[in-house]
Amino acid sequence: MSDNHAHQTVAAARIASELHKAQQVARQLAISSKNARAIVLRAGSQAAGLAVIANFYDELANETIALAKSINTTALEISTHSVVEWRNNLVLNYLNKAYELARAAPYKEDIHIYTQKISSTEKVLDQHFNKLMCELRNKLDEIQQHMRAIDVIAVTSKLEAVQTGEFQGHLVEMADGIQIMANHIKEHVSHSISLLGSHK
Amino acid sequence: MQATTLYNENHRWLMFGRDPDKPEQIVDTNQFMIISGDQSIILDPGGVELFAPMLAAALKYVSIDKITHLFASHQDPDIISSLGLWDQVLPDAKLHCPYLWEGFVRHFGMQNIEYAAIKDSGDTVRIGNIDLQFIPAHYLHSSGNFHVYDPVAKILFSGDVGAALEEPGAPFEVEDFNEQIDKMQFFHQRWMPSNRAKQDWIRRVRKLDIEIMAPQHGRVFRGDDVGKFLDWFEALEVGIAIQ
Repeated sequence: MSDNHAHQTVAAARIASELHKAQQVARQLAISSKNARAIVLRAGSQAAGLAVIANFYDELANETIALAKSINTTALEISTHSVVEWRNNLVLNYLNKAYELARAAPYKEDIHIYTQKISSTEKVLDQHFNKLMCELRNKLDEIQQHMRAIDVIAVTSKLEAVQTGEFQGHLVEMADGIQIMANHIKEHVSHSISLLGSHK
Repeated sequence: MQATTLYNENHRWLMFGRDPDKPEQIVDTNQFMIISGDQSIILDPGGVELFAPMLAAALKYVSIDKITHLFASHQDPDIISSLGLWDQVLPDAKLHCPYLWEGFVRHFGMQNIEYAAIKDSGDTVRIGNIDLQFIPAHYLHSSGNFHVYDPVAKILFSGDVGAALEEPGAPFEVEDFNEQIDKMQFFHQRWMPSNRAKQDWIRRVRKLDIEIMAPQHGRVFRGDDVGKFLDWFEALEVGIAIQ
C-alpha cells in the first residue's frame, strides 16, 4: 500500500470534492421535496396518498445532506492520514538508505531502532487507514441506497399524481426533477466509488 | 558523503560534504558537526536529499542519542528541509534557529524536536563542555540569519558568507585565495542584499579571533585567508539586481 500514498491522498481529496457537489444537489432536492409537500397540501384530500411520499422525499434529502457532509469529513481525514503515512514511509525509505550507506559506521545499528519503531507506527496507521476506508465505503453505499429509494418513490408519486387532477402536471414535473437530481447524486457517488476502486 | 576534521582537541569539529551520490541538480552544501562530551550539534543539516548520507556519516562519529542539537542559520531548503526526517529520529533534540522563521520552518514538519528560537541580538548555547555563540548575520542573505562562533577552536561557521559554487569533488579548503574570488563574486553580489548589513557584520566579525572561517557552500578559509576574505568582502558592492 505504501506505493499508493500519493494516489490515495489525491483520490480522497477528489472524493471530498465529488461529495461536495453531491451535497449541493441534495440541498436542491430538499427544496424540491418541500415544494412537493406544499402542492400536496394545496391538493388536499385528492393527494392524501402523496403526503406520505412528500415526507419521505424530505427525510431522504436531509439524510443525504448529512451523509454527504459526513463523507466529506471522512474523505478529508483519509487525505490527511495518507499524508502522514506517506511521510512515515518516506522516513523509513531514507532510514533504510542511511543504514545501507552506514556500512562501516560503528553506530549504524542505532538506525535499526528507529526503522523498527517507524515500521510499527506504520502498521497502526495502516489499520486506522483501512478502518476509515471501510467507513467511507459504507457511507457511500448508504447514499446510493437513498438515491435508489428516491427513484422508486418518484415513480410511485407519478402514478399517485394521476388522482390529483389539476395538480398532476406539477407533481409529475417535480417527480421528474427529483429523479434527475437523484441521478446526479448517484453519478457523483458512483464516481467516488470508482476512485476508491483501486484500493485494496 | 566525505568528511574532514577541522579541529580535534577537547572537542571536535567535523565538516561533511562533496557527496558523490548527490543528485546533480541540487546545489552542493557543507554540513558541520561539533562533538563535545555527550552532546553534539549539526550545523545546517541540509535538505531532504542529504538526510540519509548525512545520518550515515554522522553515525561514524557519534551514536544517535548523542546528536542532541541542530542549528539552522536560516530557513532555506538546502539548510533545513530535512527537518521532518530528523524530527523522527531525534525526537528529544533542540533546533536552534532564528525566532523570525519559526512559523515558516515548522512547515518542513516538526512534531517532536523543540524549537529553540534565537533572538535577533544572538545568544550562547552550551554543547557538552563548550559554549557556542550565535552571531547575528541578518540580511546575509536571509532577513533572520545567524552564524556560529566557537571561541576555543577559533572557528566561525559563516553560513552563506564566504560561499562559493564549486565543481563536484572540489577540495575542502581554499588553496589560492585569488583563484577563489571568481567562484564567490557573483554569489555574494547577487544573494547578499544589503551593503549596510555587510559592513555591520564585518565590523563585528573583525573583533573575533578566527583561525577558520567555514561557509555552508564551497571551501573553508584558514589563517590569513580569513582576513583576505574580510577585506575583499568589505570592498564588494552587493545587491546588484537593483540597478
